[in-house]
Amino acid sequence: MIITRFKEDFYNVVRKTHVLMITSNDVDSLCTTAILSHLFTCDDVMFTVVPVDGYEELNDALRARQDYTSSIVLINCAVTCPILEILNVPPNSTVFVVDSRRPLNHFNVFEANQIRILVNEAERSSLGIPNLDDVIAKDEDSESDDDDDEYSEGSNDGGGRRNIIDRVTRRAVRKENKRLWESQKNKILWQYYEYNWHSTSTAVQMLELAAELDRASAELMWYAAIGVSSQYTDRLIPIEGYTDTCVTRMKPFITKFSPKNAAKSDDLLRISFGKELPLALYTHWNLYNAMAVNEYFACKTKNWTQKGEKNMKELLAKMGITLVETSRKFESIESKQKKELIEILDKEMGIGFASFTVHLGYSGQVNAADIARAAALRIESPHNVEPMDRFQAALRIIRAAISGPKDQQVILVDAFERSYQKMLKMIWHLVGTAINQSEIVSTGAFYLMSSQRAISAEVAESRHFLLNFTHFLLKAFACSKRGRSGKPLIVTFPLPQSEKQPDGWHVVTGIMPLATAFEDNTFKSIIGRAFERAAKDQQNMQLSFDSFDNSIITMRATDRARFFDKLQSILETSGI
Amino acid sequence: MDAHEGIADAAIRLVQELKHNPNIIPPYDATLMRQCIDTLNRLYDQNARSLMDPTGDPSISPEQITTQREQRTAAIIYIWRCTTAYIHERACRIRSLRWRFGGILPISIRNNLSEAEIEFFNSYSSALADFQSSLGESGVNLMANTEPPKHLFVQVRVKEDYGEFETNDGNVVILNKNSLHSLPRQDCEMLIRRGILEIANP
Repeated sequence: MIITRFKEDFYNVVRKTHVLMITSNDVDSLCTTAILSHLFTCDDVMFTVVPVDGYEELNDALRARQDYTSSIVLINCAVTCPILEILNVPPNSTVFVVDSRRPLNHFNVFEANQIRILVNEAERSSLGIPNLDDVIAKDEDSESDDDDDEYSEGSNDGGGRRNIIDRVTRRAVRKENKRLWESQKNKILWQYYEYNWHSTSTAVQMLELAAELDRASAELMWYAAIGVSSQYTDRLIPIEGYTDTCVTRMKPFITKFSPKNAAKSDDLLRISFGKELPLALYTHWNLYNAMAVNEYFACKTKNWTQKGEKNMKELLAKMGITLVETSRKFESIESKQKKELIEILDKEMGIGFASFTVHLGYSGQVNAADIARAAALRIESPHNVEPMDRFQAALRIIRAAISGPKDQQVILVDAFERSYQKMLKMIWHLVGTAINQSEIVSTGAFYLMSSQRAISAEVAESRHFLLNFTHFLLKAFACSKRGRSGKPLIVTFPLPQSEKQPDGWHVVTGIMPLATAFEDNTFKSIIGRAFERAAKDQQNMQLSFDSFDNSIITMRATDRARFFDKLQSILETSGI
Repeated sequence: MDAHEGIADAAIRLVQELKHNPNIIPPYDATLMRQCIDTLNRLYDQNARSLMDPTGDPSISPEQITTQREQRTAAIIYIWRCTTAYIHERACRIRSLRWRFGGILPISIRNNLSEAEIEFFNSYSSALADFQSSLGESGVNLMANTEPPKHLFVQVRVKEDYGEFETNDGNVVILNKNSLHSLPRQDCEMLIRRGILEIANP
């Protein structure tokens, strides 16, 4: 069942019971959990948080609580699959689903007793949910039983020959109707499930709930800002979708919590919203490095080739930026000069990115997108670290940006400089080698990049890394020769062996072609659906759909060839 | 007895044993204690004998005998002080155990105590319980809120599987390893002390 009144139908109901929040391990869910925890703490509601990585852990968490009554809140997990069928939902509990993944599974939508899906009123009509009668069969068993009885009685009668014929034709008609209905149903469902995409960040939705309860604060707005930024930095929504959410949904909070002429004070938390460069981490790095690993500049100068560095310097000269400026730490450049540099680069990139920046007193400022990136890397991998440890570590990063003490700042420096910059360089390096060594093969319906080099566990299992790498690679691949923007790209990486992960498994993901025109400000993708279809009817293939994103799957190395053959035929028939 | 060994060595070892393990209760050292008691008895007997029989050994002058006696008395007092310090210090630690673990001791600690000590622990527990219930109308739990709390609820992370836990208002929570809970502070304070829960960053 879909509910749209968050306060009456969700918050006021769950606060009366013990609340179990099961949250997927990504930054948006983390921010959502942080906002909800804050609300529950204000109201003295008892709650439990269990972070999970995939369906298996989600099921374990539910199994342990089989005999107890509580409200279960699923945050960004499992709305796309029939929850009651595949999960062990405790029979006495109600499940509330807060999720940005779309489409919603129709069984969840039509289940009236145990499942409540929270959807914004405005979005509801655009979901295109099929009619109940069109997709779920009515219970007709009893009717046909009656019919059989009548039939046997009728045959005893002797004179009922006509009746019998009548009945036979009626049954044939009904069968035919049923067949028609069935094929119609399949068609409707096919259309409904064809694409997967992400809707508004759940953290923003929860911020709106907080506002409805009169509990919105600058701190909660910061969480929501990170939530929506993470959707952009994780490549779940395009820049248009991000800007749209910021402008329409975050607007009231921006005017409330970041007034233009806010007073400066030592311990005052200010959040400002304004133009920002889409360069990752440049304020905590030097410009040259940040530009070299950036998708836009790397593709423009092709800096993975031998001529690359020369191109890069030429570009800098054209823009009028000196080498000294780019090699200095950005923070230490004079503020006037900084503004000039930002203006030049903004003009050059022309992406039109705006972002949230937090200022705490007079100390440094941190950008929400950078925090979202650093937290994403920390929370999503590696999987052999307990989910709870990763959850708390990422939470510390998010909180460090808005808390004063110096030792908290150390956490940020560590997250930015030790981990994230390393990962950016690694992505760039991997893209460079893949292009230089022509590792991408064109296989008819899609491009395939099947890496044999093992990469460190710290990044291999992270969705943030996989999607950023895949997008970067496709862009780099397309810009090195014309006519390469019409096919999707599928990427596989070997997973490092660990306790939970037996040897010889690969992670597979894919993205839509570069030239796809996306509607409704979302990255609508058919890849996940194609993966599901390719895996169907293949009992002897060892693969797992444990991740909540169906476009990220793991499989045995030996099954890859067969899987790609199947995928090939599926993508050919669907014609993109 | 070894020539190099001092008369109070066993007593000193007893005290050292506690000093070297400041945070735990080492097993009650019955052998050393026995040795100390034996030494005390022997010294006392010798003193008593020399007093009973003033002209015992003609080769030693009376002044020497007096000096010997004083030396022995000093040794007796010294050993006696060491042993009482040992017992007293252990008693202090046992008392602090009551505040840390409540009325029931973990078996690993219980094994380290002597019978008399266990008896002492039990009587201390019941004395504390009597005292608590005598305060006010329905008694006061002195263990709760040893620091002034800022919130009624506290966020805790479970460090080891505990299973069902019922709070004062009748809600049942399952405490499984690696989950985060927000619970009433007074209910879970005891579990925090026992190390099953850990306060998560606020």
